[in-house]
Amino acid sequence: MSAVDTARTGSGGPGSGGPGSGGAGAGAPATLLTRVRRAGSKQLLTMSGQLVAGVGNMIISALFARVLLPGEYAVLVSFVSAYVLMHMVGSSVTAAVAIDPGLHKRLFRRGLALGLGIGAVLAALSGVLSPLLNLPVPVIILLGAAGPSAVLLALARGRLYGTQSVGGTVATLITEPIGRAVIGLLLGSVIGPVGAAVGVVAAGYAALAAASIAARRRPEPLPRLAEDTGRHARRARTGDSLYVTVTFLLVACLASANAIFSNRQLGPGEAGVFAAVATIGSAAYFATGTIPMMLSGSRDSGRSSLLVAVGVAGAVSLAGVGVVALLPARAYAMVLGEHYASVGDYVVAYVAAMAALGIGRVLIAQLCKTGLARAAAVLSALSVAVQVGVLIPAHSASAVVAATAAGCGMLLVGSAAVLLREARLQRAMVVVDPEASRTAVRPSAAPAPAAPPVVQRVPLGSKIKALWPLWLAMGIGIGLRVIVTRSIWVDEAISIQQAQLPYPDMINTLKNDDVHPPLFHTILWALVHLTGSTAEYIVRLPSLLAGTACIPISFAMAKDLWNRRTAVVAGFVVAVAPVAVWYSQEARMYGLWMLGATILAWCQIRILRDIKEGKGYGSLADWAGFTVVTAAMIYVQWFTALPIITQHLIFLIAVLKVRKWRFVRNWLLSAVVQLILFAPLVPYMLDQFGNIIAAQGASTAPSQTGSDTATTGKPDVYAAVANTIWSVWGYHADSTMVQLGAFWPVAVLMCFAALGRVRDRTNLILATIAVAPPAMLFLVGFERRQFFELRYFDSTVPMLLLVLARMAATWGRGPLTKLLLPVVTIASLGAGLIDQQINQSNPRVYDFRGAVGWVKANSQPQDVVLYAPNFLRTELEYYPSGLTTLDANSAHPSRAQTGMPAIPKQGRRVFVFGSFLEEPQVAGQVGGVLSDLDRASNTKRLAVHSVANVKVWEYQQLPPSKSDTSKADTDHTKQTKGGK
Amino acid sequence: MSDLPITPPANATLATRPRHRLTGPTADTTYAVLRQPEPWLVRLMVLLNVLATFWYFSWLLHPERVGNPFLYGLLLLAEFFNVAQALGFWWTMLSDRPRKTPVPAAHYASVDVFVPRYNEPVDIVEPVIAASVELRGADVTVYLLDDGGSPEFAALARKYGAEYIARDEHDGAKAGNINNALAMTDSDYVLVLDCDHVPHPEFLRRTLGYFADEKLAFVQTPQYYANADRNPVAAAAWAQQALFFGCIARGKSRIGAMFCCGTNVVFRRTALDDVGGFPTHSITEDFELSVIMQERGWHTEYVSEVLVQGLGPEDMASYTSQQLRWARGCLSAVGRVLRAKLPIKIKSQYALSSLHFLTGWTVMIYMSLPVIKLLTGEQPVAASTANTFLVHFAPYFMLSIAIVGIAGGGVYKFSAYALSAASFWIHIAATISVVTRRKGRFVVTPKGGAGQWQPATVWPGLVVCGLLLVVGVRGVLLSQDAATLNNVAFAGLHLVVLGTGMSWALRPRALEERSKAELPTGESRWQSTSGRPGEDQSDPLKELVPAP
Repeated sequence: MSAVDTARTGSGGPGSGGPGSGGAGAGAPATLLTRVRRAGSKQLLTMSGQLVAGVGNMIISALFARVLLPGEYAVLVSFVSAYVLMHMVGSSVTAAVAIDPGLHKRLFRRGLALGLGIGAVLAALSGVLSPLLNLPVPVIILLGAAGPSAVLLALARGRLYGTQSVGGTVATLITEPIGRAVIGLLLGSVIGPVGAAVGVVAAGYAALAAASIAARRRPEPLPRLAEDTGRHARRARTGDSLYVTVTFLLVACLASANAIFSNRQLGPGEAGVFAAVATIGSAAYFATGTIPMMLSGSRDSGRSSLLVAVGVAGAVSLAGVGVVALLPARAYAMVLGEHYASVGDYVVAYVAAMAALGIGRVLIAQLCKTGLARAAAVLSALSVAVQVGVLIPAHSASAVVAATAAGCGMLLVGSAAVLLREARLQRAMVVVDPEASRTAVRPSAAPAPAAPPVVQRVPLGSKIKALWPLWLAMGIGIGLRVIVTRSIWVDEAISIQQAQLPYPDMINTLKNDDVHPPLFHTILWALVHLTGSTAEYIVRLPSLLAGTACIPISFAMAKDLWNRRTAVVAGFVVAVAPVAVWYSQEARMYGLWMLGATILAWCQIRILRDIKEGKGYGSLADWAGFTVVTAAMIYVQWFTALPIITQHLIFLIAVLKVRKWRFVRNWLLSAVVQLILFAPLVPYMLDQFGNIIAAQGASTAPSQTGSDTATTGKPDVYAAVANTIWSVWGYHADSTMVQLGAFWPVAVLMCFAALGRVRDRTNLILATIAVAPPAMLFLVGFERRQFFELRYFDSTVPMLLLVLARMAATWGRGPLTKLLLPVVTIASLGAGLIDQQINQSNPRVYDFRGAVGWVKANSQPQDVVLYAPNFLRTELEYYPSGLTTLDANSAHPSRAQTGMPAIPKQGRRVFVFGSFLEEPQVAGQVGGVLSDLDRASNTKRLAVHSVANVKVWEYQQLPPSKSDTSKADTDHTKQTKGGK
Repeated sequence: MSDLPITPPANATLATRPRHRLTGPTADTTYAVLRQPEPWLVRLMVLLNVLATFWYFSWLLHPERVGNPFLYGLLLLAEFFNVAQALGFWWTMLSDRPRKTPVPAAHYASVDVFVPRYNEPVDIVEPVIAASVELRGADVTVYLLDDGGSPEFAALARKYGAEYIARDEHDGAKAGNINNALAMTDSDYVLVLDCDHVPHPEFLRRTLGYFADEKLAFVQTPQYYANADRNPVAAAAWAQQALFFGCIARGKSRIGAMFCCGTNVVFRRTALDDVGGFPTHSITEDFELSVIMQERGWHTEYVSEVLVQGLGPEDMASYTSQQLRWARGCLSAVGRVLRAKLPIKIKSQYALSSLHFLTGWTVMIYMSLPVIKLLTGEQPVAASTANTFLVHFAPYFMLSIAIVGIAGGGVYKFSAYALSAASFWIHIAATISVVTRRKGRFVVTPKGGAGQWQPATVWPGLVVCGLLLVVGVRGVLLSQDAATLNNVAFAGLHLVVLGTGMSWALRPRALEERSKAELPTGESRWQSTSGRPGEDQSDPLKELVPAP
């Protein structure tokens, strides 16, 4: 039995009662409460030492500022920064030693040699480094002198954590500020920064001495298990230690990378603001620094130490977030100066990110402790990669904050997910005891008792490798979703505008002027206010995440319901499906809705499968998932009612067929809980619907334009065909849709091909969930045509794609068709995606960004933009041209609002910005404006710029003397379609 | 979508076993391949189909719809024929009901088992003889009726204690062979088995009880192909059979119009004697025999239980030969059926069955319409947009497909439909040969089994495919407007259907690989009394209801 196994199973191996085990092995087993108390007191005491040390160092730093001259103080700060950096790298070893205190002995000589080496190199290069770092040579030599202490202190502290020596840990922590105060302040005041630096270095050695003395009082640390002393075991431990070290180094990078990037990429002012934010955030991060170390050293294999560590880290972190959230923005200006007034905009988000990192670091420590150091390292590396990936294009403080939040959030969520999964696996796992196995095979007169089921653990690496098709599909899916080829569209711009309001105002606006429930807007609001940005990639982030999550969810669902082959095909189908990509890029609720609907369908099918197979009446997780996600989806989209009605009807049919009370009870309970969860939304819904009815169904947003066949008149079969094509192959130009629609006999072929294949219950349920909502909206469309439109039933698209994937995966019989069918299916979706994303004739693509860019490139500050229709206002606010923008309806060029007649300056321009020109009313409006400008004696049309579904006309004011000739302008009009 | 297993897994638990109320030694197999009636679902679907048919025809028959009058007439002809067949199909389906469990035979009867043989080899015939002598529930005498005159079959008969009958003159083919044996035997009942059809030991116990009806002439059982799970041609052929031996045969039986299928059938000897034995002038002697028996007031019965496992056609040559024979026989019997003095419902059922073999003409009409449109621009229907056409046609078509899917019970699949559609030319050839009272001119490749390239067996289909391909490509090259693309899509649809149906004639290696699995022989084809390995050790007699 390995050390890891024993630690995981808590079976109490020989090492479980070792030093620092909390006394559990000394007598009767301690109760959970006792263990929690012990662990809690250790954590709190150690953290107190850390806080005292931190506060002490800050006070001494302030005192140094008083003692030294500004230039000298700057030298000291630079020295301390390099010193801290060296110790930070060293401290990553601390975690590894805490887990395996024996490492201290094994690594001591190498650590000493490394430290001396660093010192020697720095001393040798001091002459070269001095001008580069702008530091005096003695200071660099002193930095070299600190090399051995950095390495040895990391090892020594690790041993203290590993032996759970609270007193020793606190002693070594507080020795450092004391040493700095006594030696540093004394020498600093006498010989300046070099003396202060000597004090800092000496304090480090004092801390090392304290740690060494404290360690001598502790018994020699024992290995975790008696049998775990072989050469291979040592090698394995060394490998694990390396991963632990790398992991904590990466976590440190996660905490500090943003500062490096912000210095490089932000302007001086913003970089300064971010530096202040980072300083406050790092204090919160620093406060929880000892918690993972103490956890790593704990021999408690149960959950108590983890719960205590997470609880303490969470409480401290939340307290930090609470403090900065409660501080008024002016407080930062008062403390840091007026230049830092905007710190309040970012600090809450940043401290929250650091809080997440603090808790995540605890979970990472637990992973390392339970033998999952490799997974922890991979997770940390991924988090850093995500952070750096978002940091690279970041050019604002808010973006840097967002990058930090993304990296830290991923670490937290990822580590929590791995731990939960591990816990689940442990519950199902029975460790094979070789001794017991040997005994079992001996002949015996008595029949052997039934052996418990043995679950062989598959290494994580093998599992990850086995899932390579999913990783590939996700890579492709993320890549396709990140490449956004269209600008923010009107509905998105309205949502973004709403999200910038104070929360109560946003809710009121939604109730009064919108037609959607509030969950997505709340998420967007939180994101916009956390990051302080409305950049495209920020506002598209929720949909991107939801849309990307659809890929693994579909993969897992298909694998669970059918088999791996279908899962692989489903993964790729969802990754490249045009509509899935489209709504993963739209800053609206549809991506989230698709994800929720997929989970809903999965839960329901699992429940019905359990009942059919006699495995009970659905697991708690499935019922809970179905219930909660149903309620959540109602908060996302009112039209969720349609799939919910469909799914409850399916349950009703199942109930009538099965007629089992426990099934009925579960179903009714779920329905009641759904209603309870929905209840808080009822007043909002009544208000909103009342307003809609009062406004006679008018919406603030324009209806989505597209193929005329699908949005005008009554719904017909061709509209159904068009919506089906959109659902699977995406949005296309009208001419393409007409040609694609002509291929409806392919549907006849599909009907033939479906003969005898749709009796499978899973397929039937999925097909029903996919077809029933659009069918209902088709009927509704006879009254309200605009409702028979894909985005109102796009939640059914994943189900349709799953059915398609199933068909592609299984309808082939021979080896060739088995290969060809999935390939052709995915290729056809890919072709649809390319046309959807690239073809600018797509009636749903609006290039407002391009049009505004053209206006900006051709305008001067005094120029004017007239726009039509009026709801383009939000677009032009999102993409500001920097010019005066006026509604063409309210600011007719012949009137004074444009200011044209009043300003005689020659060369002033008017840009008429038009879109939705296929709508007669808008076309008339724009036509009227153009006609007036063309007829005016002092204007000349210069250019017409057309991009996807947006057109801009450029006019220039002429000198009054040339007004007579201005009507001959049309001959000189130049067309610049496609942009300059 | 998952395939329906023809035989459920041997280790199926109660939770995973299909839920059905069938009884008998082969209940699970029977359920898997023939399913059970679903009366309410069928009633609903028939109602919807009728409404959709009215909806479509009320649009199609509007005078404005007439495009090219000739093409319109052809289209109407095809549509009316299909609707007539569909109405008959729906009527039959409505009559499909679960049957009561049969009663055991009233007395220990004597049964002669006839196994007529012409040129089949020993390894095919031996399992049948071996299984026949094991039949329970009656005093059984097995007769090997050898029209091949081979001494080794006499030895085979002796080996199993069977009787061997050979003729000097081989007139009347199979009918003549059986009539010859009838004259030489005298048992109460006669069971006729083709020489590749292995009976279940409980066959007689499951069928003889029905003869409590003294006017019952015969009891027919399904003709299940045991090689359907390994040979694609046999699988598709079985799927077509499953549609017939499932809801259609059950419905016909309830109407009283079930006809004899030539094998797996038990006759009352007195009934055979009454009609003078099998008619020898027809190539579908079984069908004509049924008409004659019903004219003379005899009843017929069908037991929807898989009690015999045979071998289906293993390649396209065999299939084509079988279909051509059936088509010619049934079409040649149309006149006889129409002249028969039978109740109208029985006569209608017989007419529907024999006229089914005109379906190929409608397939040809449908295939020719896009070709004509692409070549000449002429089309049958006018004053219509794609939308209005789809509004009326889509419900009619989709509901028709849905009801076929329900009737097929998951066994009738695209491969079966495609094989049927690709046989269109067989129906045409059979019609011509019947009308001209000549034998068909199509020379069929001799049966050689899987592994031979057999384009000659499907050459008319290949010609049509080539035509569709050329015309489709030409159409796309000349124009990409919606109307052209729509007709190209139709041409493509027919191309895929025909291509799928004919593919096994052109892919001998693939067919051979799929057919490599060794065929079950003899008792091992059943492996147990349940028809499933290692199951059902109970006494099947307990499942029978005691005689009143």
